[in-house]
Amino acid sequence: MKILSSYSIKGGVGKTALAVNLAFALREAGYRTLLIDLDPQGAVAFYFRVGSAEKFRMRDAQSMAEGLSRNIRESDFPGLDILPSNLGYRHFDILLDGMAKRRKQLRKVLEEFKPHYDVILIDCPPNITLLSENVFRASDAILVPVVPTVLSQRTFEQLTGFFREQDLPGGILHPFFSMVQKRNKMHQETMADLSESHPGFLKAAIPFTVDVEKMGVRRMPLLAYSHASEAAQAYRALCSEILSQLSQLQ
Amino acid sequence: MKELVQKKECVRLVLPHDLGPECLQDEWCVEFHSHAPQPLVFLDTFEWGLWFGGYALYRCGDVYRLCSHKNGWLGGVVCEEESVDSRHFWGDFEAATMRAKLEGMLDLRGLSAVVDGTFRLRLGALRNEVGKIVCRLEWTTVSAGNQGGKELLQFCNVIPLHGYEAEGARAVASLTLRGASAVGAGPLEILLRNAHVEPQKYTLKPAFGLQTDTPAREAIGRIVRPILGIAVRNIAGILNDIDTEFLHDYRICLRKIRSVLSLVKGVYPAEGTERMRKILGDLARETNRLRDLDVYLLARDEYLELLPPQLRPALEEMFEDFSAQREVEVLRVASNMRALPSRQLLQELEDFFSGGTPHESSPHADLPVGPLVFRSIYKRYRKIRTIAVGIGAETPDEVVHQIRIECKKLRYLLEFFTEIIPGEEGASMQKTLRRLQGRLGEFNDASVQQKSLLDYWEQKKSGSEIALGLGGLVSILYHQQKQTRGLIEQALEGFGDDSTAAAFKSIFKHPASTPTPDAPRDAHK
Repeated sequence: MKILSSYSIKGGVGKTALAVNLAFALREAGYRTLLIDLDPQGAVAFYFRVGSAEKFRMRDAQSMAEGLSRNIRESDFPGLDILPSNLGYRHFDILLDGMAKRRKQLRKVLEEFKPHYDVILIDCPPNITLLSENVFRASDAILVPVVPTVLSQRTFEQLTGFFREQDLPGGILHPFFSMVQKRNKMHQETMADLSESHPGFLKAAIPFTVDVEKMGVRRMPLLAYSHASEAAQAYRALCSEILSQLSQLQ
Repeated sequence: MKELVQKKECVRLVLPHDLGPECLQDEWCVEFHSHAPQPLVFLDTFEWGLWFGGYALYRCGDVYRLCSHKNGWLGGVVCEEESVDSRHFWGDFEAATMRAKLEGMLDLRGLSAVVDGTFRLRLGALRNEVGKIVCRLEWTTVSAGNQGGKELLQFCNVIPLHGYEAEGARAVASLTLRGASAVGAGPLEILLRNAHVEPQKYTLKPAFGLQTDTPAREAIGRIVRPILGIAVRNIAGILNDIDTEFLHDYRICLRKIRSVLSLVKGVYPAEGTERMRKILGDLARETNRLRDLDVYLLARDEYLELLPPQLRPALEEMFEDFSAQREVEVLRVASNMRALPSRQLLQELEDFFSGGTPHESSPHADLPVGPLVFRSIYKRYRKIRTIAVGIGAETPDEVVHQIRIECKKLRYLLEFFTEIIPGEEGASMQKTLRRLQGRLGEFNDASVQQKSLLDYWEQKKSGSEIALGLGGLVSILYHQQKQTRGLIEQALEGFGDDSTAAAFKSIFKHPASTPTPDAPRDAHK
C-alpha cells in the first residue's frame, strides 16, 4: 500500500481538484483507492455527494482507525472509497499532541487499512501543523500543486525549508505546476525559473480550465464527465508519472 | 484485529414475475441499463460431476465459464476460456485453472449439454436525494431455451454501497413488501426442473434392500433389476459416443448380472438361467473390441512415456491406427445396439428379471438368501486360498489369470450381499480384495497387452521402426509383469493367512447368528 498526499501551505491552488481527479485516475488504473479528506472544509465530500463524517471519540490510534473506518463511504465509482471530512478534524492537532510518538501516529492508523487498499490519498488542509507533520511522515509521496506565481513559489520554498529544518526527506516532495495558463507570460517565465532551480518538478502540468471549475456544478471528478479533456489527460499523465516514480523507489 | 472495512453484503431476492424495477421509483431515483439477453448452455457429465462438485459450467457464445453454484444459484466466475471449438473433455481446455478445476470433477467423463436458458440482466442504481448512488441492483430474468421462451424466474441482487447499508436494507424491505422473497431455488435448478432433468448421484453399487431371510429368487431379482437399469441408462452415451465410461460401465453391469447368476445357483430354472447368461455374454462380447481399443487409447500417453523419445513416433502410428479403427468400431457397435435383435435381447433380459414374470420352480428359489450366499462366499474363498498356496515364480500366467477371475467372483458376492454381512468385516474384506485385485489386474493387463501388441505386429508387419517401438514396449511390459508377480505373491500371502481364513470361517461358515431386520448389526460382531 502506498500513501500519497495532496498538500500545499497555500489554499486555492488546485489541491482538492488534484486529490479528487488523481483518486479517480488511480482507480481507473486498477488500484483500490481510499481518498481521505483531512480538510475540515469538506470539499471532497461535496464533489462525491457524500455526507460529512460522523463525530467519533479519538483516544488512541486504534480508536482513531475504527472511527475513521466507520465513516468510509463507497463512491459511485467502483474501486474508489471516500473518507469524508468532519469539522471535528480541526481538533486533530490537540489529540495528536497528547499522544506518544505524536509525529508518527497517522502512519500507524493508516497501516490498519493496508489489507483493503492499494493506495491511500490524503487531501490535506492548507496549513502547517502537527497534523501536517504527521502527513509528511506517513506519506510515500507528497504532491504539491504550485501555481506559477511568485506567491506560490514563495510558499513552496517555505515548505522545502521546513523539510530541511525538521530533517524530513525532501525526496518525497513532488511539486507540479497547477492552474497553468499557457498564454500567461508570467506563468511561462516562473515555470522556467522554478524548473531550473527545482529539478524535481513533475513533467505533467495541470492547465487552468473551466472544465475543472465545473466540478462544483457536476459534483463529480472531471475525469468522470470530461474524459478526454486536456485537463483530464493532464491528471492521468500526472498519475502515471507519480506511479512510475514510486515504482522506481521500490 | 477485527476487519476494519467490512465486506459488502449482497441480498438476493426472488421476485414475483410481474414486479419491475419501476416499483422503487416512489422512494428513489432509479437508473437502469439493460444488457442484451444471453443464451447460456449448461454442461455437465452423465455423473453430474460438476453439479455435485458445487460448480456449474456454461457456454455463452464462444466463451466457457466455470462458476460455483449452490442450489442452482450461480456464484462468482472461477475461470473462463474463449474458444470457437467445442470443449468436450477437461483436457480439451487450455487455461491451466480451468483444466486443474475440471480434471478432478470430470476425470474420463465427457461434457454434454444438460439444459439451456436465456438470462436477461438489467443493472440498476438507486440514488438518494443528492444524487449519490447508495445501492446497486442486478435485476435478472431467466427464460427457458436459447430464444428467451417461457419466463421461469426473476431475481434481484441488492448490493448496498459501503457506508450505505441502511439504504440497502430499506430497498430490500421495499421489495419484500411487494412480494420478493429471500428463499427459493436458483436459476440452474429451475431450468433443470422445467426441462424435467434431475441431477442424480450415479453409482454402480446401488442398495438392494436385502435381508438374510429374503427368498433367494426375490433377492437376485432385487440385485439384477437396478444393475440392468444402470446398463440401460448407459446405452445412450455409447450410441452418442460421449465418453468411454458409458461402455465400461455397461459391460461391468452385464458382467455383474452374469456373475450373480453363476454364483447363486438354482434360483431360476436352469434353462432360463443359461439363456440369460448367453444373452449377457453375447451383448458384452459384441463390445469387446471397442473396449480394447478404448483401453489402448486411454493409455496412449502412459505408453509413450514408457518409451525413449526416439521410439515414440513409431508407436504414434499404432495409436493412429487404433484411433481409426475405433471410429469404425464405435459406429458398428452403435448400429448393432440400435438394431432390433439387440434391443429384443435387452428386452428379454428385462422381462425375465421383472418382478411380475412367472417362472417355474427351482430348488433354491424360496430358500433364504443369507445361508445360500454365505456358503458360496466361503467356497470361493477356500478355492482362492488353495490356488494361492501354489503360486510362485514359476506359476504359469494362466493360473494367475484364474485366481484373478476367482477373486473377482468373490468380490462381486461380497459387494452384492454387503447388506447382510454382519459388522464391518465385509467392507474390510472387500478392501483387501480390491488391493489384491489391483495387483492381479496390473499383471493381467501387462500380459494381455504384450499379446495384443505382438498380434498387432503380426497383422502389420510393416517397417522396422514400428517393430522397434513395439519391441521396446513389449519388453517394458514384460518387465512390469515380472515385477508385479512378486507383489501378487505378497498380497496373496496376506489374503490366505490364518487370521483372514479364520475371519472368513467365523462369518460365512459358522455365523454366530442370523441377523434379523430389527436386530442391531453390532450384536453380531
